[in-house]
Amino acid sequence: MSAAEPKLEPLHHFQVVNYLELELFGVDLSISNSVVWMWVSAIAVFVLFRLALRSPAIIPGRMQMLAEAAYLFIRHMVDENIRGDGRRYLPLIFALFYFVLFCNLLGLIPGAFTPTSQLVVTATLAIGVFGYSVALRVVRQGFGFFRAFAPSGLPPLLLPLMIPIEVLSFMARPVSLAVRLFANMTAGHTVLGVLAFFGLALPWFATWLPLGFSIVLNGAEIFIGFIQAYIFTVLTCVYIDDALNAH
Amino acid sequence: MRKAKAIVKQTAGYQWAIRVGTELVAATMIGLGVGYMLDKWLGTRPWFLLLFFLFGVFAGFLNLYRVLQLDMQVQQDPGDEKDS
Repeated sequence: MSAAEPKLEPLHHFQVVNYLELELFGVDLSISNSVVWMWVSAIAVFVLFRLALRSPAIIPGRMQMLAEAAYLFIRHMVDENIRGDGRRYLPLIFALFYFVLFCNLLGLIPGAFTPTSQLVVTATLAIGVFGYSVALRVVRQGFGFFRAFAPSGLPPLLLPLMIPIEVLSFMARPVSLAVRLFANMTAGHTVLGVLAFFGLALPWFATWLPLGFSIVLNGAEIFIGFIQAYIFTVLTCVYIDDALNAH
Repeated sequence: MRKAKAIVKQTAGYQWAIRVGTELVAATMIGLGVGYMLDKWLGTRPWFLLLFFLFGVFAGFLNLYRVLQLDMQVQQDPGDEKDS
């Protein structure tokens, strides 16, 4: 019990470390721990699903059943939230959900890094989704794009009030999409860091209290990682649905 | 097991608070930004800032309403299927 004095550094595990400095055409492409853990989660998703469906049988084994449930879950979500030919967007939604989910969950392994706790990562995902939905909307609806900002059945007197509100609420979409995921991941991991510090700093007879609570919180973090990935992808579905079907 | 699940869900409640806060703040900030830009462009400080601040707050509540509608859907769904 004579380890070094524990220091309160709850933000320590959000530090981005560059393993390899890399610059191409003036763009910073350094390989950081965030990049590495994104690779890890993408590869983990790929390998797990490959392994689970290695020898598909009519009567599925345990792994195959899990993979099929995972697929059906996304298909259900897409069917429910995108009217019309929503199945066309299933691969996008599937990839997005499991990428975000694995980024969230793998970050809970002690010593691992959570890419989704970086605003840059979540903002890139959110801007990508937003840009895609806007492009889809322009392609599908053409000029009707602008009609979406004026809800039908409204007295014309209210239009100067409603149009700016609708436009602002539209513009806030990527911001809240990015910040929501980032803030949730950061908050949870910070609390875990503080609890771990308490567990180390308290005298031996009180250690069980913060450490026990951190176990509960780990369970909560798994739940939140799942819920946040779900919300991110459901909102993506809603945006795509908005782009496909005018109200 | 059911009790453990309930405890976890209660502890995870703060994610709801974060979401509500984010929703309100994001739209308000966007409104403030747009108002500031318009003022700078037209030289009408502070009128557009004030106006778009209000618009932003309303937009925030609108977004909040929409997201919480989705939230109800999550609660009704068997949303806690086991993930792989």
